Order: sequence, then C-alpha cells, then structure tokens
Amino acid sequence: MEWAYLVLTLVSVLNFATPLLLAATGELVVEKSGVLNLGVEGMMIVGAMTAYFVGAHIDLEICTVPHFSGVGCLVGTSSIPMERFAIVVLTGGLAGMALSFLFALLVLGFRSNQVATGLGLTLLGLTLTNALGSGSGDLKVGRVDTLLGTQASDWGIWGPLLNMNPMVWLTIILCLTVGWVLTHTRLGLIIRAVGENHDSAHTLGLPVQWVRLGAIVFGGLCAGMAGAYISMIQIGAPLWKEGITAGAGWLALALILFATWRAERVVLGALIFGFTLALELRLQTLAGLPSWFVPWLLPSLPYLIPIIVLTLISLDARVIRRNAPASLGKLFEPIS
Amino acid sequence: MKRVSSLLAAAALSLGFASGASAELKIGFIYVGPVEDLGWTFRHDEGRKAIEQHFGNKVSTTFIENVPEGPAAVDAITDLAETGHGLIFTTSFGFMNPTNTVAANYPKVKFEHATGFTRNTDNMATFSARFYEGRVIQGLIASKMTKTNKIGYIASFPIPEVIRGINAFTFEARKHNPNIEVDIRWVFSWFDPAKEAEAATALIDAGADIIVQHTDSPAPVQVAESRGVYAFGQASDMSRFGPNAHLVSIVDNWDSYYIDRVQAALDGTWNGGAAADIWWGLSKDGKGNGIGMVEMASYNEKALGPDLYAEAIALEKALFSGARHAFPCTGLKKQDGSIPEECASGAPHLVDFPTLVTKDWYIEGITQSIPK
Amino acid sequence: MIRLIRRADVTAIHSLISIAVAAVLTLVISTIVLFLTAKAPVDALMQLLTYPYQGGTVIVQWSKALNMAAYLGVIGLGLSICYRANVWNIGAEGQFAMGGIGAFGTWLLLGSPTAWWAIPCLIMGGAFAGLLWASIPALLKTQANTNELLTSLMLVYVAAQTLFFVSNGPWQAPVRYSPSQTVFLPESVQLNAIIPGVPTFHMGLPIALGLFVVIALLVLYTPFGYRLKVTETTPRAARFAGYSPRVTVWAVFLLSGAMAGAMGAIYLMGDIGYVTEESNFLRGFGFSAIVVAFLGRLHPVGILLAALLLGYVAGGASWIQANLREDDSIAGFIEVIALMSTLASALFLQYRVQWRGFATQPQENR
Repeated sequence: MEWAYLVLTLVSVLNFATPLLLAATGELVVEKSGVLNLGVEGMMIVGAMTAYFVGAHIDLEICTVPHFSGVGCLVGTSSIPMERFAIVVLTGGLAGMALSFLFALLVLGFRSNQVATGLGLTLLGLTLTNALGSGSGDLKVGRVDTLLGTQASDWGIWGPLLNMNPMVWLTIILCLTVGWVLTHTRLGLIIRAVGENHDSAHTLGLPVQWVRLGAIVFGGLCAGMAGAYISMIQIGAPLWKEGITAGAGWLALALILFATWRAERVVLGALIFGFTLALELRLQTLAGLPSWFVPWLLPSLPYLIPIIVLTLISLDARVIRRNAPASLGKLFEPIS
Repeated sequence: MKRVSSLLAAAALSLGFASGASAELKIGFIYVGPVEDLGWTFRHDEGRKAIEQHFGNKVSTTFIENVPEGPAAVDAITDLAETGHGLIFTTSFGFMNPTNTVAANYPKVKFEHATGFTRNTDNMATFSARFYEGRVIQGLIASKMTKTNKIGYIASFPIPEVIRGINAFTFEARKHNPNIEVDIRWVFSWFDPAKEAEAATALIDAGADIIVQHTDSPAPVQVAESRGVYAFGQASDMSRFGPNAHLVSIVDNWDSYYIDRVQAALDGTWNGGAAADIWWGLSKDGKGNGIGMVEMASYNEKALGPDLYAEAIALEKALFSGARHAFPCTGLKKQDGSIPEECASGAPHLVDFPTLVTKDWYIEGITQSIPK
Repeated sequence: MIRLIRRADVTAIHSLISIAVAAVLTLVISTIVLFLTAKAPVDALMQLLTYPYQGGTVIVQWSKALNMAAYLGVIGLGLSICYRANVWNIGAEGQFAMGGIGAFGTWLLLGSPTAWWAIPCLIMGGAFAGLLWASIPALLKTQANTNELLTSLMLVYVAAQTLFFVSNGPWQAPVRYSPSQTVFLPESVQLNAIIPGVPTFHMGLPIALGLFVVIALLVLYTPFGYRLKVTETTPRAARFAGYSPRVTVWAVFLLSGAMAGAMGAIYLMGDIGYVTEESNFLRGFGFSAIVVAFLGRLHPVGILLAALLLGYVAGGASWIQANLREDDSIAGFIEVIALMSTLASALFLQYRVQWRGFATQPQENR
C-alpha cells in the first residue's frame, strides 16, 4: 500500500471538500433557523470573484516589459502571506454577505417565495460575476503562502497534508463548533426553536426575524469565504473564470440534506462528496476502462453520487421528517 | 411627443459622433475567447488596435468577445453585419460555417475568416498563418536544451493546424536529436488555464523537461517556471510569465495583414471568393518580402547560450527568406513509414494544398496516435 | 412602523397593483444599472427600447427576439405547470439538452432518413427523451421522497456531460470542424427558414407557438387544468378530491420534460443542425425559462408576455453590443431585476401595507 499516494489522495479530498463544508456550515445554520436559501451558488461565486480581485490588488507593482512597451502589467508578488490572505478571504465573505442581505430583505421583509428568491439570488450572483469578471486576465495574483513553504519536504509523505491551507482545518473546526453551539448553547436553542416552530417562538417573545437575519447573514459570510477558497486555493494557483464554482453551491445544499441537518454528518458528507470530486482526476489514468467511462461517467460522478445518496437517505421518509426543521421554508406571519 | 423624440435624437446624434459614426469603414471582430487571454484573442485585438492607430478617423472598430461557436456565432456576426459594419473578421476555426452562413445573407459586407478553408461566396476570404514555421525553431531549441529527451506538448484539438505544429516541431527536433520523445496531451480547449496547468504538471511529473503548448493561456509557462523546467510561449510574448523557464514565444502578428486588408477594402481592391486564401509565415510570401503573420519573440539568450542562440537566429532567417522550408522532403516520412505523395514524385518540400491544409497524419517518430 | 395585514380577498385589482409595482421597480432599477454600466447610457437606453428600427433589417431583429421567446415561452409554460403543483423542476436545461440528443438519436435510429416525415418523428423523439430525463427526478420523488429540486438540477450537469460524450464519441462526425461535433442533419430534415435570409425565423417557431397554445388551453380550460388549480391553491382539498399527489408529480414532470425536450429537438433542427458540447450547444434557455415562469406569475398569458419581453431585451442587448460597443450583460441584469421585483411585489398581492407611524411598542391586532 503506497502511503504517499494515499496521503496525496487525502489532500485532494480535503481540497475539494473544504469549500463544500464551509458553505454547508453556513447554510446549515440558515436552515436550522427555518429559512431555505438556495442562493448559495450565487453567494459563493461572488465571494470567489471578489477574493480574486482583492488578492490581485493587495500586492501590486507596475512593470514594463519589452515587446509590450507602453502596456503595464499587474504583477503580484510571488506569494501572498497569511495575514493578507485572511483579508482576502474576509472580503470574499463580505461579498457573499452583501448578497445575503438582499435575500433577507426579500424573504423576511417582502415575504417573498423562498425557493424562487433563492434561485434568483443564484442567478444574480452568476450574472454579476459574468458581467464584472472580465478584465481580469492581465492580473497576476500571487500564490498564497503555504504553512511549511519550502520546508514541506522535511516532513516526508505527510508534507503535502500538513502544508495545506489552514482554511481546511479551520473549516472542519468551524462546522463542529457550529454543531456544538446549535445543540448545547442557548443561542443554538433559540435558533432551533425559531426553525422548529416560529409561531411558538414568537409567542415566547423570541425575535424570529432578527434571528433569521443573523443566520442568513452568517450563511452568506460562509458561502463567500468558501468561494474565496475556490478561486484562491483550490486549483493550486489563484484563478478566476466564469462559473468557476461549477455547482459547488448546489452540492453544499445536497450535502446538508444528505446529512439530515447534523453537523458531524455534514463533515462526513463533505468528505464523501470531496472524494467523488477527487476521484475524477485519479481514475482517469486507469487502463482497460469502457469508452464511456472517462468522458462521461467520471465527470458526471460528482453529480450522480449526491443523487444516489440523497435517494438512499430519503427512502425512509421519517428520517427527513424527524430531522428537518419543521418550519423550513414556511412563511412566517407574526400575529401581533 | 415630438419634442421628446427630437431631444433624444439630438442626444443620440451627439453621442453618435463620439462613437465614430462618421468613419468611412466600420470594421467588426468576432473573438472566440476573452481579449485578456494574453494569447490568441489578445493578439487579434492588438491587430485591431493597429488598424485604429494606422487609419485613424477613417475607420471605427467593434469587437465582440467570448462568442461560442455555433448559432450564437451566427447571431453575433449577423449583429455586426446588421449594424453597418463593412468588413468583419472572425477569428477562430470554429466560426467557419457561421461566417459562411452570414456571408451568404449579406453580400455587400466583406468577411475574413481566420484559419478556415471554405469560401462559399465572393465576399468571403480566409487567412491563416504558417505558425508551424515557428515550431521548426522551437524544435531545434528543444532538441539541444532537453536533458531527459522528453518533451511535453500540450495540444488543444486534433485539427490540421495543430498537427502541422506538432509535426514541424518533431521533424526538426529529431533531425538534431533522434532520441527525443514527444509526449502529447490533448486538453480539447483553446483556453482553459486550469486544464492547461494540470496537463503541464502531469507532463512534468512524467519526466518532460521542456513544455510546448498549442493552447492560449500562460498557465503552462507559469507551471514550468515553478517547477524549474523550460517552456515555449504561444501566440504572444509570454516571457514575463516565466523569466527563467521561457525560451522563446511564437507570436501571432496580425497587424500587417489586417492593415493590408483594410487598405484594400478602402481602396476597393479587396478580393474574396474561391481563390482568396491567404497564408503568411515569418515573411509575407515565404521569400523574405515583408513581415508576415508569425514572429519569434524574447529568445532567452542566457539559457540558450551564444551558440544555440546564433543557430536559432540563423534558422529563423533561413525560414524567413525561403532558403529553408518547414517541411523539406529529405528524410520526411509519415508515422507509418510511408513517404508523402509529393515527396515521392520529387517535390522539394510538402505543398500547401491539399497536404498541409488537410493534414491528418503524424510524422515518423511520434509514438502516440491522433485522437478520434 | 409598517404593518402588513394579510388580505382576506385577493382580487384582480390587487394583481394589477402588484404587476404595476413590479414593472416600475424593474424599469427604475434597470435604468439605474444601465446608467452605471453603459458607456453611452442615453443612447443605449433608446436603442435598447427601439432597436429593430435603428438601421438594421427590421424583420431580422424582430426574428431574433421571437426566436428566443419561443424557447423561453414553451419551456417556461411547462415549468409553470410544475411550480403550480409545488413540484420544483429546475432541470429544464438538462431536459432540453436530452431533447436535442434524443432527436438526433432518433434520426440515427431511423436510418438517417432525408424525407420530410422524419421531422415530426425527430420532434417526438426529442420530446420523449426529455420526458425520460424528467422521469428520473419524478421517480425518485414519488418512490423515495427525494428532493426533486436537487435531483433535477444535478441531472443538468449530467446531461451537459452527455452532450460532450455523444458528440465526441460514438456520434462524432468523421469530417468535422471541431472535435465535439456530430454530422449535420440533412437540409431536408432541418427546420428551414421561412423568410429567406433570416435564419432565426424558421419552421420551429410556428410549431412552438402551436405547442404553446395547445398546452395553454390544456391548462386553462380542461379538467387537468382544473386539477392543477386545485392542487395549487388548496393541496388538502386536492387530496380529499382523490387527486393522487403521486400522479400529479409524474404528470407535471413528464409534461414539462416533454415540452423542454421538444424544444431541444426544434433547436437541433432549426437553429444549430448538429449536436455538440454544452458550451456551444446550450444557450441557457432552461434557466431563463424558470425566470419567465415566475415573471409570468405561472399564468400562460403572463408567460407569453414575459417570454416576449426577455426575448426582446436580449435582442436589444446584443444590438447595443454590436452598434455601441456596450457590454451585453444588461440583458442578464434586467432578467434578474425583473425576477426580484416580481418576487418583491408579490407582497402587494397578499398583503395590505399600513403605515402606523414611528411607535416602537408592538401594536395589538384590531
């Protein structure tokens, strides 16, 4: 058993799982509070674009190059240190948050249909980033510093794993923390109460709309940061192109459903989904595969597997009914 | 109602002048990728800017980028034809059918299609660059610079243009170093930095120490730089993406061709139709007259060393003047060992039509096969 | 503060108010966005509104709009049927793609005929393929309670991959202009232009119109339509009446899948002529149709108008891109703004808005 290969695979799995997990963590809180926000994909991609552009400007030199005289080029430094990366990620999160405010305004203020508004939010995010995202090609964004840098080889086969961006570990910790908060603290109790029965919660004097607003905003922050991870870290070097998230937001939503709104299962599910995404690259080189395998099945796997696992989970309708926040998606009309 | 409309009309007129409505000729461009791909489309746009600079107020230009090949292209080209553009350049192989379709509907508009080979109507011309001449020089350099004898070649689509490039490169490289192995990876895209980077990484992991690309983004050069191997730039000068890795770039130079054709359109001497298929290489006519569509840029003299650099320059000059053809018949065999028709009947080098235009076979020495 | 009181009685007046609010909001916000993004906003606005008469060929410009409206309208109508039954089919783009594949596959299956009777066969083949593709989420929902929104959406990605696979693999053309391309359908099997020189106005448009009218009549005047109405407004009454929810899910999914598939076939035969990879084949009709369904408030007449509106706007955006060198993203913005405005203005349909001053104490309901 080639341990080095296994470690590299784990690195790949975590790489793909992290943005899913982060976005799902935020949306988990949102859904626990009784709101269904389908706009995760839109918030993620807006976060991805914003992080990329901020990352490009956070270190900037104008250069002149022969054969291109008169044309300036933006050259990032060869690496972005951790503190600046944190700022970059945060701005991505803020962008996602901004979009989530719009969602909250429509859903909480204007009492609009949550499904349609969420879809609209995704569309808005995609439209915005497609329109604003051009003009990026001449930006050179520096690669983000890694924890170990050039000393990674000192750690043998574990080097690549330990060298992963801290966001990977922080996200796992965040998800588990959120799970703990939801189940063991007063804040979590309030959120869950609002999500289970908003009328009773309101009668008890809980500020239903404010709790939901807070949850939605938190969800936007997480989704935006998840997008930042995709554009800055996931491919190895920072990259922006239209539609870079490629359905990650939808996978995060499927993830929550698959995990039946339990935080530990969200982590597990993220690893499974991350595994299917990592598989695509790994299996390509296997010999003796049928002709439809590599061009069709492999790229489709990350979308087929969620369908399969969702079906398996949903087979017993009671599991969903028991675990779903009872007021999820329902309209809240305070009687006061 | 009348006052409002005349107010709007006045506003439109005043803004209309700003957008060059008084120009003699409106020229349109359809790009398959984004201008900032820093490769293929970028160079076409540089050509467009060259036109604006050269002709000043006599012309005005419009471009539409990121046009998918298919009905969207028909729509975009039609849009340009509908909005008064008299000369339209479509800059991707996949626009061939769309351009022909629209050309048939707008006989008064002139159409120029890059790298195509069908001209169904008299208002249509095609043009292409003999990029493969640049590949010859790259082949020479690679054969002498490689230490592992393994060259990684990142290719886009298995079309004649790309195969010509692979063949020219390999033929020259093997002449100087018969042990060379060219490892080709197909990414099935002209511009996909993520895939190109992946391919470059995979090739380097498999032992290649020189990366050649027929794709448009600087990603492979960047990967080569970070991995400490060499790379060739494509379509534009990519030296700044890999100061140590970059050996030389093949630069598309559409400026002189575009200016020539616009001048012809303005003078009324523009030609289209069945015979209007224009191929320029390093020089306009392959005999050293005038700068053509292909340029070599930013030789990495430090890495090459004075001898190899001199050799490369000499080869470039020979190709420019026509003293040397990219595909001389001496020693040229197909992958299956057979000799091309024209060589067998005594021609000095491969001919443009039909061999080079429809090239679908590899040269001897390439172990892989062309994907279906 | 503002108090929202639920209306007991929702009448046509309230509908009109809500539509008016949506229209005004859309107009105002879109104009602001245009002024922020355009290089020559006044010019752009004027030409966006009147572009067919701005110097091009009138019929060509209108045809652009009508062509897109046909796709958005038919697919949107199918989706509206699903949404009214509270079935969230957002996989129309995938059903559309499979329609194109199904139609081409039908052509191959029939032995690559060139006769005219192949045309209706191909359309039916496409409809059937779309129907099959939509049956997957339907099956999973009825048999395993699986969330149909996510399953239908995931299948869009799979369908896109299928486009690449068939055109690059088993159906790849021996002589082709790009690697992922099938052979062209023969001219006699294509839906040819009705007006010479205007390729976007082809036989598929009247076919689409006919399909739209038939289904609209189905929705408005038949027992099926009545069932749909009951299911939409009072699900409990529907169950009491014996309308099986399972049958409803199947019916709406199959119908909307067939409609999207049929449009995919028409697209293959009328606009593109061959199957290719998703980035060149798909134009986002399936997703814009979702917006159209909501803009039209799930009513056939509204959907028709919304489809024409979005088609017209898209045509205008591409016009100002070619004529004024503006970016054509304004079309997408208008689409989203219209959707958000419609969703926001639905408030006025359901609620009476009362201004109760600046008091901070919670009020008693009177």
